[in-house]
Amino acid sequence: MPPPNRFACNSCNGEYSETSRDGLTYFHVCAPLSGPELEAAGQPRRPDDAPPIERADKRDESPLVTFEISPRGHVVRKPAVPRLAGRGRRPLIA
Amino acid sequence: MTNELELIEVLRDLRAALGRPDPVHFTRLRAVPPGAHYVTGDDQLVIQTLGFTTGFNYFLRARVLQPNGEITPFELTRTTTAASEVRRMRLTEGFLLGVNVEPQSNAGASPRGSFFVRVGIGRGEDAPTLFYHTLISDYLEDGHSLAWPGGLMRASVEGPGSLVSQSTADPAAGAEISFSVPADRRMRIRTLRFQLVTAIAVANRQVHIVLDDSANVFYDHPALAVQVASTTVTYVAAPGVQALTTTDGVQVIPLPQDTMMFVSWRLRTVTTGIQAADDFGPAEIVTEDWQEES
Repeated sequence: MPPPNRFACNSCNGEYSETSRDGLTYFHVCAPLSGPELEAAGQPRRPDDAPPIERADKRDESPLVTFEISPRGHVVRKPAVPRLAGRGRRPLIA
Repeated sequence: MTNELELIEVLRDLRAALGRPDPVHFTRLRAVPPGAHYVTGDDQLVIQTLGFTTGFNYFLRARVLQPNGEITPFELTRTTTAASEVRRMRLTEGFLLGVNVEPQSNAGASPRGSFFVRVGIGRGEDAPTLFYHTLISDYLEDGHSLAWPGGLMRASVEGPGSLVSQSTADPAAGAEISFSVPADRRMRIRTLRFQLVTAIAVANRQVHIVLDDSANVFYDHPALAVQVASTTVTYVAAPGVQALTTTDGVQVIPLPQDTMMFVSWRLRTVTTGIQAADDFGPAEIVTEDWQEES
């Protein structure tokens, strides 16, 4: 039974827990396209050491922090957001 | 009493004028107070924290010697609610005598390397934080306080890091394992373990462990033996180990010694001959982590 903070990525279909065993946050980042995924997309497989081909809808949950100017003129740190939203994620229901 | 001290000072000045100064002379009046930092009501103690988790408890205490001779204590009790935080404590005019940061009952949940603290004198409410003088810069851990003056000033990537054990995502069938170093982190890979369950499709799969800087591959080491159809093999990788072909269902792949990984660098598999129904499990990774300030 998956824990309540377990998700599936809508871009790569990988499944992961948002919180690791140590209680630290796990930041999911989609893997580059694998051989079968390249073939499914009509592209040839590539040498193992070739630069990876990222998926067009890559999701990268690594936090991105941005700043904005408040109405009072202060520089304010905004809440962190995923660097790339991709196609989002869905919770895996326990 | 003050008149007596003033008289002593006058007599000492007189002896000095007559060419017979005291060999040792302590100024008792109009002495300069200790402390290098004279602060005003516009100055603040700025506390910047970087943590792997939220909910870290700490105290910050400071004392200021005011111009009227009174010592005023200041105290901040804080439980962090974000991985990266900035708090401010407005001061009163006077000499800043000392600052102490102390962890509070974190029950061993803060090993060294997991919670970095910087305290300095700043002004204004803007972010990013502007420090006019850094007073404290080090990791805070249970059972150990940070202090100014007298403490060590360290960067967040100095010294031993925090050992972290985590699982990567469980890839979909036919996809590879990939682990990316998140923002604000520097990692040293200690060990890695994962399984590949191959499908019925006949092919020789050869698993490689690849390191890249998010664009360019700079390390690629294959497993010694191929994995055939309908088998399960566990792969283990660690820096400096000797490559080992499949033994009792386990293959060992060496990583470079002292594999430091920066933000967005990746550790992943690339499998020659992988089939669409082959299934990697999640990788179990132990890393030594530091806060990487960005």
